[in-house]
Amino acid sequence: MLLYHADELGLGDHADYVIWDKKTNSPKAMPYPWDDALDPELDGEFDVGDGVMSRTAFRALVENVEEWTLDHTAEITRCEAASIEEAIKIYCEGSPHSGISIGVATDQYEQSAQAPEGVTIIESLMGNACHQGNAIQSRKNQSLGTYFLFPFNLFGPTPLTPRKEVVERRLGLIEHKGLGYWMASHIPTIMEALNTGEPYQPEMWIDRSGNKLAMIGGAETFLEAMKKMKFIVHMYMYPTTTSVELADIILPTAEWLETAYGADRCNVWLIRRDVVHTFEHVDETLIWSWFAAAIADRGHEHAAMAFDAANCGQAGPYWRTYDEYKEYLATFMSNSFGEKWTWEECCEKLPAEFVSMDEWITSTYESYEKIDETTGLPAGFATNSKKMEPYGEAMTILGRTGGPTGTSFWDGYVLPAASQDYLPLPKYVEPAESPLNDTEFPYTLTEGRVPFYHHGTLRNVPWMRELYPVPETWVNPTTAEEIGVEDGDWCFVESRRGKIQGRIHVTNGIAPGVVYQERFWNPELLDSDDPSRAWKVMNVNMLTKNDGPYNPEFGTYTLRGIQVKVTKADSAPEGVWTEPEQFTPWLPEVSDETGGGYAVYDA
Amino acid sequence: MPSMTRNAIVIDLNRCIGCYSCEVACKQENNVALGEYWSKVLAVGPTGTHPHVEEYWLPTMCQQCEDAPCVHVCPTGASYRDPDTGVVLVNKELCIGCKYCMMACPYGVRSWNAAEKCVEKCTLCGQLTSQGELPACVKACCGEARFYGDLDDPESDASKLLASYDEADIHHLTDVGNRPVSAYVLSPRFAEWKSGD
Repeated sequence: MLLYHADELGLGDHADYVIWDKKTNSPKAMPYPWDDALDPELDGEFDVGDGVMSRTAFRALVENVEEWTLDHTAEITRCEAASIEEAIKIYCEGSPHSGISIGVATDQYEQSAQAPEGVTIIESLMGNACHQGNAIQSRKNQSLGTYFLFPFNLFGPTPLTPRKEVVERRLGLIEHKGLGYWMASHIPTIMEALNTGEPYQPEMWIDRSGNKLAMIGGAETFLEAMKKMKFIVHMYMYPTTTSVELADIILPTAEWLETAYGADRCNVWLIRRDVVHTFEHVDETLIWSWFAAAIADRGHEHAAMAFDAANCGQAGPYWRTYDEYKEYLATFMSNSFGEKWTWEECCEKLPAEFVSMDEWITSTYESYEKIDETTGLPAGFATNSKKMEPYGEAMTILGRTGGPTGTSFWDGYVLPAASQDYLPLPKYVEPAESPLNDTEFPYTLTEGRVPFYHHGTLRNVPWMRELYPVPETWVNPTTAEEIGVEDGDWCFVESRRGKIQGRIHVTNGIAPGVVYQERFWNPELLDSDDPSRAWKVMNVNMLTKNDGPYNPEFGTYTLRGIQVKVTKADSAPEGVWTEPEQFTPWLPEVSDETGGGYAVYDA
Repeated sequence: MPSMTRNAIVIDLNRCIGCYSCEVACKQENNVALGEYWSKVLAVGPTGTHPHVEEYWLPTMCQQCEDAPCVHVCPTGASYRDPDTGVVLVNKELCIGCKYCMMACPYGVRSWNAAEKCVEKCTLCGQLTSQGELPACVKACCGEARFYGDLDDPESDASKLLASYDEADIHHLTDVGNRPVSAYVLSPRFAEWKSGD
């Protein structure tokens, strides 16, 4: 295709793109879905009229990536050229039944949007979508990624849709429009607002996650910024460093796995029945409802409207009791079966299949070919052109307006443009801290997950800590020799932003020159004269980077892919527990039955 | 005289993902103290030189040896083999805590209970299997990699798992004459079995 819409060259409709037709040696509109009379040239640069030259999108792509020969790629990725080539061949020979999966690692650095863009281009070129074996599929989920407690504006406008001024006030959204899909704000922009009062001073924070001080990049600057909030509420199961360092009030909540909920997985609705609660922790869903009810009672108009179904669209109104909430869950889940069950009935009938496994699996295959009855044409994909769009013009539109179709996600506003255009094709950029030129901090730090811990949780569970008591600093044998450390040695890991400790694990499971350490915090250090050590001594987020450059589309800062140095330490940080018996104080103790959350749900 | 019942756990290492659930489930079910283990998952590897490496996980527990050294060395008869189930057990009332059995075990799968001052080990969750349930580690395995049953009964889960694989893929921990009954499956396409660990 040429980089024009057909109407821009007077060739056809805006929705049609332009190709260079080899038969007539001229630009032509390509109607949806295809015109066999045309013979498009994939690669080239052509005069589209009056000496105006235009490349095909394929030519633009080629020029964007031409420096990336196999050898150059091998050099920068530190993978073997022969292995890369073998992988490419496996992928291509398996197409159109191949797929590429990228994980959290690429989500956590400056090019978080570009990695999936690159993958999408490759998958598009090889036709790997909506066939058996592909990663890209188009199956209808029953919930939105297991969320079925919805914002009021998710299904179209309601009286509770936020006004445009409210959406524009979301910190960092205008610059990083991708955040609008999640209705999220940009953490560094919030910190900037806290520190400067611009564009306004945030005043109150209600946190329902475990331990931001262990999880946020550049944790120390985050703490200082957050202290400028006037009022902080921490909703969690037990006090963490966030509670101790920042919270004015702690509200005990149930662990998410202990509460009533459901999840659709493949073709099955699963139910999560709430467990016996052993102390007065509350399902956080009710706490949010109680906040809304409390401010409604004090005259807040929208909060009051949120309890009236007429205002809430498909999302449904807020709840006042746990029973009301459970009935909402039941209604939502049983709807997939074409029925309306009570929560009790769901407890009896679920888990259950809402379609057969075979139907669920195959519903996506070649679904783009299925004829749309309203148009008589193939349904296509959920893009502007209904085709796969390796040339991502939709990203540029997103940056200029708030959404890929020209208006913002969910609310349909035309938002002010970001300060720079989002590019339609990805281009690799070397990270701000790079192993190519950093002599002071020569090793690249990456992070990940271990089976024992989940996000910031479980560092206070004795049976987990005895298995993996402290974060390991993984280094390749070559790197270990350079540093002068052996397996089991304590070490310091240092970046431009901080210095922490870890315990060396020498392994061939990591590349030379790369260091791995899991995020961590030490609950045993809370009960001391300096509880802040709990989130400082062995927490990689003392090292990570929350300043720019950010990913333009989503604002991502750099959690993985910063430069560090590692030196030997004589010992563990003082007070850290490492031996199984030390975790004995955390073993569960019998307590009185107090009624649990149910003592307060209906109060 | 070999037992006519050889109950044991068989583990399909092709499916084991190293989640450690079995190790923790055992502790929870059997009230094993911190620092003590009846079931221990070992990581074998990564072996090789980066990036050409392989790794597998090896869950270890009592191998229910047919000719168990721990039974031979026990001075009081506390360590014995149940004639009906074939399970190697410890009678805590007879155990004097000499720990000879711990030294004699070639696999180090016997555990010292400091609170009760006696030796303990995997019991194949007799308290569960006697009621028709599976051992805790088998129930907990999210990879569906653990199988329990009588290896002299071709219909048992354990026997059927082994029968579904080639002989070459079936392995045992090093046999020094003790004839371990527990078995492991590991196919070359996942990793090469490392004996002598």
